[in-house]
Amino acid sequence: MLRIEPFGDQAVRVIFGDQIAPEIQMKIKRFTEQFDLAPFAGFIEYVPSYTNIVFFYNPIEVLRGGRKEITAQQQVINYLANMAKRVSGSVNHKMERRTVHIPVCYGGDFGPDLDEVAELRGLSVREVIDMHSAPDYLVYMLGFAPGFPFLGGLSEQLATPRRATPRLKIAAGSVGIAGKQTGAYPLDSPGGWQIIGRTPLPLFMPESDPPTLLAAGDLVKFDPISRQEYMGIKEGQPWV
Amino acid sequence: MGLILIRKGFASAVQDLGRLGYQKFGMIVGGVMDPPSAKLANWLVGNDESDAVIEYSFLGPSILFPEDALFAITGAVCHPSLDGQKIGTGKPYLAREGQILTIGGLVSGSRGYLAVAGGVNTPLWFGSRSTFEKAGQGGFMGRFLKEQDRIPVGEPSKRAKHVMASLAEKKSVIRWFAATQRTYRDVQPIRVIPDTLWPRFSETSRQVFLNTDYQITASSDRMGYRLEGAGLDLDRPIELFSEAVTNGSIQVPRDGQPIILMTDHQSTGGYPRIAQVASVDVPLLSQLPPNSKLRFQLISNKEAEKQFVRQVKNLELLHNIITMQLDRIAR
Repeated sequence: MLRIEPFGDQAVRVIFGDQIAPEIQMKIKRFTEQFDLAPFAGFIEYVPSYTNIVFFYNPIEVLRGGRKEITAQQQVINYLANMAKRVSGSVNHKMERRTVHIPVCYGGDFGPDLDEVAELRGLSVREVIDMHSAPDYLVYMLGFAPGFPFLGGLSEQLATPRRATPRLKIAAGSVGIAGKQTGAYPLDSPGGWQIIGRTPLPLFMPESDPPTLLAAGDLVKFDPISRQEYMGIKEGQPWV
Repeated sequence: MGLILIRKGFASAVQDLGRLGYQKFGMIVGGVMDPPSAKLANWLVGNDESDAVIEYSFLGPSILFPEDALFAITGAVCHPSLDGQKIGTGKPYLAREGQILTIGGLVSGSRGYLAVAGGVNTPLWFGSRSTFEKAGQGGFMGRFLKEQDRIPVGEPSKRAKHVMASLAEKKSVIRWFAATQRTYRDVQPIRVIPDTLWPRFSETSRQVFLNTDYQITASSDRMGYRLEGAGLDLDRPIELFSEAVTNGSIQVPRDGQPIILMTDHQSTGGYPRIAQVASVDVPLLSQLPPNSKLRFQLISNKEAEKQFVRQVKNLELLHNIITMQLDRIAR
């Protein structure tokens, strides 16, 4: 069920499945939690994504601690294969997930594409907001930019193609839809997503450790707020 | 201690060996494009190899030393001068207070390194001084350097101080120099490891990938090299999800022209990868300027690891020799 393969000469990929599914994300999270308790010598970092985890290592350090007659890569593969056996044998306890509430001011100049999304999907603006703010979205991974979440769980009814012409600048905090994905921009950046609202919360926090609001495995709930509330949070009012 | 930028050169920035451990938050590793050259520059001035240096591309900066400083230049070949006097690269020099170093254009290779004893001492951000320009963080105020910037420098090591005292007293110039061996060919061979998706590319694509030249185009930067050459395609389209990528990943977007991910690549990518540049050849690749031609050569993961280990061992040897030479100067 689980595959381990080389990725270049200084990384190894552990593959948990071939589709985007909460069960697979759960296995990935469980594996990283176990790994954190016992990383191998020479380990640098891991990067989880939808279906796999890539482990980066320094071959010199791996060889220093291990056996010289087999490659560092093979030693890492063996280590991860052993860990996989232990993790799959462990008790299937219920996964604790953190829910992060993200306030969003929908529409207006914060969400210039909200009307278009409603029109394209044959919905009212109110319905779009209700549908978008109803689910608990699962953060499968972070990538593309610091703190940018790849979220799963968008209603099929809201799936909207990207804009024909990307915008040169999308403001940090913008919440958008692209196909079956929804997400929020941590930094000002160019992009083609349909922008339906904006959050006053920073997704990228250069002064904090970790520097991001979200982590893989979190649940996200978008809470609609008024423009006045948006301004209040921006000015420092607490948000729970 | 500090340095004052008189001319900024091109894409000059504070870099070290990168910011490790935060890719899972969507942060980039970044850092110097050519780590062996940057390490060498640091060793020559008695620094730790992970100290921050100034990296520049294609055109080097001009720098005023407001105080005496020990510096070294490595990486791409250039013809630097100190107060108008020609100087060499790959060796430590003592700059006296008020002197101006002019690095000028790079004549072979495309990334150069300036190390100063004590290391560039901008604040650490997540364990590194590398410039993460897109996020406006790290390095010098999160950006490329510009004229009038005053770049802080740390306290030189004991070894560096001895070398400085000795050079000041003897007023002599060091005869030896150190360099990482580099041959740039008209068509540069670059060793690659097949990606797991390699068999999914069409037979013709796999053939042309290994048997025709690819050219690095002008729209290449620290994030990636866009190549131009024979188009590549998959036997059948496959749906891929975004996943972790790394330095040297060779992605093939729908137009069939490969892109090699370089130091400032995003942490994740969703294009099919045909191959992976062997780590041992990534520093060499990073020195190739636009319009250079490449020819890919397939090697195994095992061979790639062996070659990388050998490269590191050779560098360790060079490091030991440099340390011995520095101690001899200081005696």
